[in-house]
Amino acid sequence: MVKAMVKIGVLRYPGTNNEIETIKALRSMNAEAILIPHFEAEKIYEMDGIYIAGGFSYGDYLRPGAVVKTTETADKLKEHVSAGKPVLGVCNGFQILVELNLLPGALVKNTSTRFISKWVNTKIVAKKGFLSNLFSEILYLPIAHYSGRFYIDDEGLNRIITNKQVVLQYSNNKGEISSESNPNGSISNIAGVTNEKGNVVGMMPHPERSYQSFHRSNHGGKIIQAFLEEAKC
Amino acid sequence: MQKPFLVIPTQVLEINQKYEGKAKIVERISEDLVRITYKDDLTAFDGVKKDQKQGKGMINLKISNLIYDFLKNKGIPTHFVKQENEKQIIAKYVKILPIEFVVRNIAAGSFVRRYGIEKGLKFDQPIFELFLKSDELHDPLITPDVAIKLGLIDKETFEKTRFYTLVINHYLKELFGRIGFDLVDFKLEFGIDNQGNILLADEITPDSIRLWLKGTQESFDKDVFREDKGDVLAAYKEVLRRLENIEIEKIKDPDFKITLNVRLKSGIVDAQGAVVKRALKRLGLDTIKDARIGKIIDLEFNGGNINDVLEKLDHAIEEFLINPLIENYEINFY
Repeated sequence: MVKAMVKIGVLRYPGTNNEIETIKALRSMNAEAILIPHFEAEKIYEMDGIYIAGGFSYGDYLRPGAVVKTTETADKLKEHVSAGKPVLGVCNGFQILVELNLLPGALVKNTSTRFISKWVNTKIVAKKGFLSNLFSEILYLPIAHYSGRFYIDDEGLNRIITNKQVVLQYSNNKGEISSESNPNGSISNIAGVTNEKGNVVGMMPHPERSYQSFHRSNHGGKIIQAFLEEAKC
Repeated sequence: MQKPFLVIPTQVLEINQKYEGKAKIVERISEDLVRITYKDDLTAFDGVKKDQKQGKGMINLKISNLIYDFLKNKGIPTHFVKQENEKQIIAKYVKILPIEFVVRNIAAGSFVRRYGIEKGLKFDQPIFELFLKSDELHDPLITPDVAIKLGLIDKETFEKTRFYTLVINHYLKELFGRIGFDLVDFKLEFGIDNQGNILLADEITPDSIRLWLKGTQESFDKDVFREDKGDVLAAYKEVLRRLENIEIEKIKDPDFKITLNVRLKSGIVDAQGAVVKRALKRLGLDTIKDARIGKIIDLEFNGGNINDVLEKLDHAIEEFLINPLIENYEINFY
């Protein structure tokens, strides 16, 4: 029997611009990737997993990701998450997930006040959720953002540490985590977090730009694979 | 700071306790309710001039109820619960703010005496004034700064009550304009109920409003009594008669503006602010301590039920317009 391909919806809002490369990456890993524009929110119901692609949804107006809160996709996404299905939000997708309160914290302007586009080392520190199989791996990944500084108050930081919700941290190539390897001023070098349940992950680095032979690394492929494995369950 | 005022009457009324004012008796009948009796008494000049007119309490109650009902439908939160009989209503128990809120559209009364201007001068924009409620001090004018800093009202409550007062001015101007009166000025009182809501309280009657026959200075309010200008009861009755025959549906809602000042919380490094601070140093501002950059959100509304708009806006602010984890805000109404 041929097993049906895993169905991943790639969300696109006005201003999203990473959806094509994201769909390509997912298809290269044998997923059925389906574009879901913001006006076809009900398609979310049919998906095994949702990948929220990066870019500048609604022009980043008000705050990056904020306007998505007022769209129909917000409620549908929340239903998808409460059903236990996985969501991966990358860059603006991560910003959207924190604005929707599906993930803790906030993403504010980089301390350098610059748009940062470069390759960085990150370390998987996930003890729960679909990235935990990659625990302790050091991944070389590209970042490209202006508002990628992860912020959370002290109480919230304690809570996400206690609940093992930090999944990815900026590090050096040995996996050491220090301020020298922090590109944007994020609290505790946090590059990615998960929710309490572990089925929602948001991260600033772009795994969909790091899986082909001509990419500087193919480490991002591991993250996408882990997400697809989760979506198959 | 120690509160320096000893003369402000205490506004707390215990259950079953009565308070008798110049024109009304207020009796607290339960945790949340009071019974208000409208008296036939008329007083002016701080109680120096007194009289009684049979039926005045009943007329005032009817006028006040009509206006309150109209304002309630427009979304102004009021203390009114129900009418009990011809002279009594049941209202929510509120702690009355020790401040009277006054709006003036045309110069008259104490304003004319205070500033030495001509009676009848029309203002382009309504003038908003506060008076301290204190018989001993003869209800003096008080500035918002003094009222806030003496702790008589907090800033947020002040902003909201001022907004309500100006919205009410719009409605009353329209209402009385339609029945042939110019709204000269009026006085409002607000109170805070047990749930912390700001409610319009007291009364709106010719005792607290100045009305002139349109285009003239002929009084249809307590000035008839103050200045011995004729039959005060007949004037009140005429106001009531005209109010009872009005088509309220045709009255337009006011346009209004709400502004939010949004700031990044103090614990968060403001990257833009840090750059601006360094730039200001280069411009010679050696003593610059900090620079932080926020944003202003101006919202303009074409009417709408005020209460409905404010409730939905509260929700939209917390859920959408600001991110409470990283931002603070101040709200201003115009």
